[in-house]
Amino acid sequence: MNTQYKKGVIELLVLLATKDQDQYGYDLVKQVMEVFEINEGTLYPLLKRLSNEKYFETYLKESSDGPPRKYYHLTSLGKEALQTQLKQWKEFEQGVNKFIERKLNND
Amino acid sequence: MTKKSFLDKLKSGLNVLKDEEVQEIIDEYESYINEEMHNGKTEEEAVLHLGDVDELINEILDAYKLKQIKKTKESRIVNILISVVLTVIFLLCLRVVIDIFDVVVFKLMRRYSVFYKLTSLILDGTYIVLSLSIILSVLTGFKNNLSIRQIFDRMLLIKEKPTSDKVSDEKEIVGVAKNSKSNNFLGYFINFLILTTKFFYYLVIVLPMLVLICILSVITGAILYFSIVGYGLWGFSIVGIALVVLGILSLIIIHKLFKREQLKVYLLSFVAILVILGLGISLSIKEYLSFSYVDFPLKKETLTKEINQDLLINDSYSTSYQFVETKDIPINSVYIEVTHAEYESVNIGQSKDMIFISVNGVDTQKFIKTSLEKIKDKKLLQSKDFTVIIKHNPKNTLKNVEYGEKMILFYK
Repeated sequence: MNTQYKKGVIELLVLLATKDQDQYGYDLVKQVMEVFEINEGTLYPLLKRLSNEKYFETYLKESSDGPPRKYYHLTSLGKEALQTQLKQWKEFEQGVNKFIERKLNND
Repeated sequence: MTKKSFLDKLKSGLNVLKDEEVQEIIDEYESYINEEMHNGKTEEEAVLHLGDVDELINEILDAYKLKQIKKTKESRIVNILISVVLTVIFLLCLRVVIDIFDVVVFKLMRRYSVFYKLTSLILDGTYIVLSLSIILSVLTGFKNNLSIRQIFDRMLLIKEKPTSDKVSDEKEIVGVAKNSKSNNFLGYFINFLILTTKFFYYLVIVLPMLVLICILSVITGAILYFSIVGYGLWGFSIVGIALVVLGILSLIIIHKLFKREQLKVYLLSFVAILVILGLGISLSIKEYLSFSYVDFPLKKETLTKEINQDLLINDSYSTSYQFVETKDIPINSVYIEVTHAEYESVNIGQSKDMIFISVNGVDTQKFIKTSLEKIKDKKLLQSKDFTVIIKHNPKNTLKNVEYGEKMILFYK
């Protein structure tokens, strides 16, 4: 898939993945990778940026499998951002789909 | 690529960030790799899935609003060459400044050759230590494959690095040169000049100025005291105070210049104090011109004329002076009581070989001079070597008597 498409939508996916339950980095990567392939390393900078924008709060939680994991909790600001991005995505998707269908039908 | 080499490269690429930030990122990626290995992937596979490490570094730095300097082999050679040139310039400039300082110290301390030699030794030692530490820091920078910015940040001891809380603030980006200007060599050179100037500014300017301000403050305090007790040196007092304030303001202004802070208020104050200084100088000149001196305490003069006995007649000599013979005065001496509207009282006495004048009041020096001239004009003392002792004895307080004793004059 086009990398630019991925970059545009990955933030939305990460916000959605943490909507109902706090997640740790590795788990988030796996959830995103259910949608499309990404370089696993690229998610950390995104998480860092979203944390800086106060969309996430982080905390450490002990893990039975190894060292403590850093969990990401979606803040109210993050939830607002998620709603905005979801709305934008739907408008974008509908707009693009309509355009594609119209063009394809005309052809 | 192994986990270790991946993490090492990542760490090296992120070393513009704070150590704890870097460690946090390294821990995060290490935990990714460990999870992948725990789920059955090999170490190399796990690292491979993280993608290209240079791209990763760029993305992370981008999240911190920083950009990675691409380290190709060519750019590394260019980095080394530029660093060497800048280091040589740095060391030469440092030597010049040290030499200038050495000359200043020589001028000031040439009479005390031991101190000069000691200071010179300390300066040379400082230069050697500084030079070695700079060369070492540059060499370490080459070894760790640091960018020019990182090398010079270390060399100039610029430790300020962005924290996660400050990431959105563009001002917090490492060093003086920012983001898109990360390879701005002029910026580093200016940084180095500022640092060197700062060092010598404190040593050569601030310290002597502080000493000067202290001395000036003490002198001004003394002048102010004499003005208050009646000597009328207000012009000199104003000049002293203005100079002290100007000294302090100059230090503040230079300090603010270094910090690149607003100077408007300080500059306006500086100008205002200059105006006051001008006023003080004008008043001082006026005071100076109206000031009469008697050269205390060693002016010597020989009077050889006979004493004019006429001057010893009671209550009749002049409107300003009264010459009185009393039983208390020894033979061949004269007691002279002088009064004047401007002064509280002045007493002039004469024994066999001396005349003494005791003055109570203000503007003593001027009055004594006038008195002596009048005594000489009226030929009070003739054909006789004598000594005049003038006593300043105002207010009858012990302190003032002590002060008066210092004003004893000897005329021989």
